[in-house]
Amino acid sequence: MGAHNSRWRPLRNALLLLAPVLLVLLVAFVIPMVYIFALSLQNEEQQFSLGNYALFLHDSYYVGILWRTIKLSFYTVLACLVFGYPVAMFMAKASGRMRGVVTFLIIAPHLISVVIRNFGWVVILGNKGWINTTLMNLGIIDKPLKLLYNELGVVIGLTDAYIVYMVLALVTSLYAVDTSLYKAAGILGASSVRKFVSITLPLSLPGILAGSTLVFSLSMSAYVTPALMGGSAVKVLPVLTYENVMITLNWPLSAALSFLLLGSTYALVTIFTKLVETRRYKEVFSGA
Amino acid sequence: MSQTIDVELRQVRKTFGSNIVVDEFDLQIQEGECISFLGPSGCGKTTTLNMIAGFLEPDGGEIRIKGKRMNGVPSNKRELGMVFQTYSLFPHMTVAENVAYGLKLRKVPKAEVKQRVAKALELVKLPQVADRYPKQLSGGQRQRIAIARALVIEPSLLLLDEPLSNLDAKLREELREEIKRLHMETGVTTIFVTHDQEEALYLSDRIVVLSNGKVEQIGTPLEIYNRPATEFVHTFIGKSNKLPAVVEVQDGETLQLRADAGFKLQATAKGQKLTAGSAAHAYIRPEKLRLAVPGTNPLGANSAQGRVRQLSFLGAFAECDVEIGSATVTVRIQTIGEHAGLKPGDPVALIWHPEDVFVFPGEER
Ligand SMILES: Nc1ncnc2c1ncn2[C@@H]1O[C@H](COP(=O)(O)OP(=O)(O)OP(=O)(O)O)[C@@H](O)[C@H]1O
Ligand SMILES: [Mg+2]
Repeated sequence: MGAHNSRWRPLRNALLLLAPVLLVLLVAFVIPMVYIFALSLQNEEQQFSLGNYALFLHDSYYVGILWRTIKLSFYTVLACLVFGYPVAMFMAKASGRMRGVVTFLIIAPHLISVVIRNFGWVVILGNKGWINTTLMNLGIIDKPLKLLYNELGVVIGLTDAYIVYMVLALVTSLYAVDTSLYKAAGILGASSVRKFVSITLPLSLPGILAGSTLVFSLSMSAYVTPALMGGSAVKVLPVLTYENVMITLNWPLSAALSFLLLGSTYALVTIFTKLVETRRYKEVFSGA
Repeated sequence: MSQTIDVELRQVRKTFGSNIVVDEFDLQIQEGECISFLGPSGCGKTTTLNMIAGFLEPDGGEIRIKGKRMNGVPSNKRELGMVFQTYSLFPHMTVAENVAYGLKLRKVPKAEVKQRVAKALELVKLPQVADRYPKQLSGGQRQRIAIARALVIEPSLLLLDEPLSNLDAKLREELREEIKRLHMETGVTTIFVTHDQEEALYLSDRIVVLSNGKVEQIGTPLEIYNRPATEFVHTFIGKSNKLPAVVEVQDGETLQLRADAGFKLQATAKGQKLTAGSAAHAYIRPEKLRLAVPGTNPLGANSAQGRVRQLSFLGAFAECDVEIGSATVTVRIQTIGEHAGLKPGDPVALIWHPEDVFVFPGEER
């Protein structure tokens, strides 16, 4: 009895400590998920049906929205990588104080609500926005460029919202690169471009992976930015789900859409991770 | 050895802000020579090496390699090999890929790359680790691979910046033998930076002793050891007993001094001129002092009477600290034989040869 007791004591203590969190998760996450999943398997007459999911097999409207959601999230990841990488490189090289300043600068905008920042973009990107008026006044274009209420607008908005996650993930991995490696590569004959491609890029893969995964998941489930910057023209899954909950009141369909979003995000992130984590990646970046 | 000059530094200077880190650095290195930069931490060894490598631009003077002026030439165009203190192997490449890196940049055909990599690994005696990643190697193995990576491109000059200082004592000795062998086998002109005088003496054809960014002396290990140009050089290389003294007479080659500790000593002047009455620092190395039976005075002025203060056993030899008046000098003794029975408090006599006494000007009193 004594031995039995002492063997289970650590587990019992752990469970006691975790109990509050587990309880919250159970009530606020597990039960609703089960409920929503059950709901998604019903039709509007509350009978069992796979019809909500079947829509994505044959209805091109729904397939199109799923595809667009994935595509825009993918573009957002790319934009965050392209614009975030130089910032991260600068930060990794900068002195401690400079790094602090830049970190503050990229985090500061997030102290403002995303709704307000999106309206800021409307002021900049709209038909009468700064960019279009400037270009028209300079005579470079004669009718406004469409920068808003289309896919481009959504990607701009999402990039603005999530690039900070990419930058911080990249800085962490770039900062860990021993700078003498660049000297070693240089003396062996590598140009700056060569050093970037053969040293910096491969050694920042963990940061690229972490940043991309975060930005992709966040973009897939973003609601406010696509709604405000894409308008009705650029509908994505979260917006469609919202409409079905609040407007058409088709809860079973909304439930199915939610699960589809979750499933596709999870599947794509898993595939991406598997592609990046080759055997070499595991050899090089595993802890031991 | 042919007499071509491979590397030349002319009045090289480097400052960081108002801090002059390297100044008036002149040096000519012959083809195939192994040169050490030796000096204490912060004396500018790495800075000088970085200027030769092209990581830093000199603020004055010029650097020539194989007769070509290098100022302004980026490091990737200099065709040099370099080995760093921290190994700096690319962690995401296997050993073979690390060694092949420089060859691939030079667009060497695949088959030749493979063969040259194999040869380089053979040279450092590690052909079996080709497919491992650097973190799967020991420190000594990593440094050997770093050397192979530097040598495989057949550089015109090999630079090593304290390559052994991250290794434990035993490995350090093993690897410095290895470096000596590699230098003899490849004949590559080499600059070896170290703050370990033993390493410098062991490895180099010539040593450049640096202090505070200035060259103190350039010479063969024997010259540096036996004919130090400055007090700094003498004290930095090996252990030596310092005896503040006053010059009594300089009689041609012979200097007569009176040590502050209260005894007279003679020294053979090695070119220096010291006026009578001036302050001096006399030095005698522990291995140049001999213990004798107390009271004996076979060499006239070159002996002193004292008392054993402490004995330290150091394996191959022992050290005996002897009190003479107000001074304490260290004498190296054999651990076996006549002096083995010494104990603290015993009276002893010390004797030495005038040519083993080094004299440098001291501060005026
Ligand atoms: N980038 C730099 N900016 C300012 N000062 C520097 C810089 N690099 C080196 N120094 C200074 O120059 C001096 C010489 O440095 P260096 O690294 O050449 O010394 P070292 O002889 O290699 O010493 P160690 O044996 O410790 O490696 C030091 O006082 C150092 O503080
Ligand atoms: Mg150094």
